[in-house]
Amino acid sequence: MEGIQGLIDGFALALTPINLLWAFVGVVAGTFVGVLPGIGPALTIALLLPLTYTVAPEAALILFAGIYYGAMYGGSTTSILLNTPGESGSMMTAIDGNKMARSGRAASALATAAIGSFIAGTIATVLLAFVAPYVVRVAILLGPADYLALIVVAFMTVGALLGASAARGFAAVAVGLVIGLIGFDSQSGVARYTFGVPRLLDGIDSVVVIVALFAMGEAIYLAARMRKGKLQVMDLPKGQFWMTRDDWRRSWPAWLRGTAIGWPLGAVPVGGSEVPTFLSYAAERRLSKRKDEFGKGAIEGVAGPEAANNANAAGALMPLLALGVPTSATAGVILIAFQQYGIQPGPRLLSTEPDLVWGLIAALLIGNFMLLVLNLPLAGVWAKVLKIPTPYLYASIVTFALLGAYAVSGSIFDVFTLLVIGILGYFMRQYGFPIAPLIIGVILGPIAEQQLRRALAISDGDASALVASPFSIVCYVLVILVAIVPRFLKRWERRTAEAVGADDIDRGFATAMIPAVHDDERDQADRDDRADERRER
Amino acid sequence: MKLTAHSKGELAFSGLLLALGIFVVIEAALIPIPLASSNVGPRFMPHFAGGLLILAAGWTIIELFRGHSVAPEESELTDPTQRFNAVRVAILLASVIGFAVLLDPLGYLIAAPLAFFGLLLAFGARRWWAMALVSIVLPVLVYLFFAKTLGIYLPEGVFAGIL
Repeated sequence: MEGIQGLIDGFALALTPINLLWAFVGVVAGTFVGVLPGIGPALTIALLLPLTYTVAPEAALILFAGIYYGAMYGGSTTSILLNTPGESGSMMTAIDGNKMARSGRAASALATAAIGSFIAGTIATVLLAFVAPYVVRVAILLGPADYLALIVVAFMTVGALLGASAARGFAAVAVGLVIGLIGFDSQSGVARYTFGVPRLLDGIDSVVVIVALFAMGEAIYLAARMRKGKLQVMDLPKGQFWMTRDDWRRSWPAWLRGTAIGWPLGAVPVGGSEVPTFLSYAAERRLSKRKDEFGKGAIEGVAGPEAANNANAAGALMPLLALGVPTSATAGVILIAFQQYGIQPGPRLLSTEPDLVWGLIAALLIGNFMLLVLNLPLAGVWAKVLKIPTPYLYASIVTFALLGAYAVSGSIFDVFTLLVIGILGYFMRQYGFPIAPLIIGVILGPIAEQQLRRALAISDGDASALVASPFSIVCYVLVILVAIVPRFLKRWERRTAEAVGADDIDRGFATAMIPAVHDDERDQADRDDRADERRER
Repeated sequence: MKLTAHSKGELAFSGLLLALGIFVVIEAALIPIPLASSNVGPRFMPHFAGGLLILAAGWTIIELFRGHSVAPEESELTDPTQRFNAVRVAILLASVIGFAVLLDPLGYLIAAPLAFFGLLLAFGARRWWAMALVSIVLPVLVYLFFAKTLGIYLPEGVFAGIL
């Protein structure tokens, strides 16, 4: 088995003291930013990209992947103790996790989240190791037309699924494509949208775009509309620090189901962890004999989505490593990190850089274990991170953003670009346009153009070649499905959210993903839903 | 129908995106097409991206007129019901622009502490001595780590030759 041998080699590489240290730094930093409100793994990795100028590739990638995994753990701590998720994948955890904390079961909730994340992360990473070689075998046969189809799927899914409405998601993708156009056209060498500004000829660096949208946009929004009063952090009750026998019995099937839902949905590009965590929550609720407990502190409602969240993060590394197609903002930044080293992820990565890939996968397994040890007994310590005063936290984030933008090419011009795109980010935040689709547009837009040109060069301009291979046909069928399925998904989400009392959720699905419909229409929809339910009976 | 102030803003922003899409498509006509151009010339993606933006922004505007307004996300730190705090935003923007302007002539060790202090003000910090202390200590640590340990170039400015 290629996977076993690869893992053994990978462990040999990852178990060196220096790489263990990078993995440790990564998971600590990841947990830290996962706990902190407002910064996620994508921004953190983008801010640390200057490291790629001086640090060895495997060290930097182990660090970044550790941050990615760590943020998933940290996010659950905030969800449970604060009722406000530190990152979007932990929204569903907040519903029952915080209810458990309020009824004195915070320790059980944190434990089921941490152990579930560990089990799911481990299974998912091992799956990645075993499945990736097979995916590569298929991927090596893919032509430019197939890649174009894959990218179209990625655009479609992030556009349609990440955001309050598909229209806004696609608008964000389109803005990303436009930003990606600026500069020299790679093939013809003509300048596009540079308006005679020499500095624009090289294009706008995607790192600057990411940092601007996540850090500057958020910072301007915070300065404009800061919440009055202090954060209410729950203190951990002393004493009971473990799960009861009943908790275990109810948790483990949820962990496994969450893994089964999260991994495949990370591996196919459906854009982020919101969908799998929601599906896991809905599945647990449907299968449970105690439906009435959901929304009031059901442990399955924490165990399932947390497992799904971590399995999803591992699954998302598959299209990134095997195909070179990122499916989330964080995976997009990791792709940029690879490119900084002149390494192009994709089908050939496993044969050209086997040490890097297997070392990374082994480091993830080690990091995942470190995370369990770090999070299980230390959740209370992590909660203290929330006591960092907001002004100092955000002043640091912006200062790092300024440094990061400057470091990209040692130029003030990028600092001004940061400001301009940051202002765009503020307006997108204010008016309900999602940011992740824009980032995917910036990163994948130029690749899509290149693949389209290659495909048409091979077919000598015959456009029907774009939909000729079985793989591309499957992709375009998927695109059509993505156009239809979310409508049902959103209705289902709303029903679930209402059933568990969405009023109590600070930022659950009800407010984050479902378009605020006009009152009349909402009433109508409710009547429809009730009619549907009657019919079901 | 009656529009709230928020949905008017959404409408204005969507209109701006629509205008951007139209602009992108019109400007595409100015992109020169080289003689030895392939099947997909340099104007194809601009037309596609601009066209998609026009469609999506137009669709968003139609949704808005049908009442599908989207409230800004709440978070643990922000509250959309707060009035827009123009003073704080102005201080924030001034800090960032100040950093950009001062970085090359005066160096990171002057520009960053000034920006940091301004940012603390913008985010509502109050204790002057703590603000001043952190504004000096943190950028120095960042400088030592990035410039001295990792070897990333940061302008030395007035400290050139001293450090």
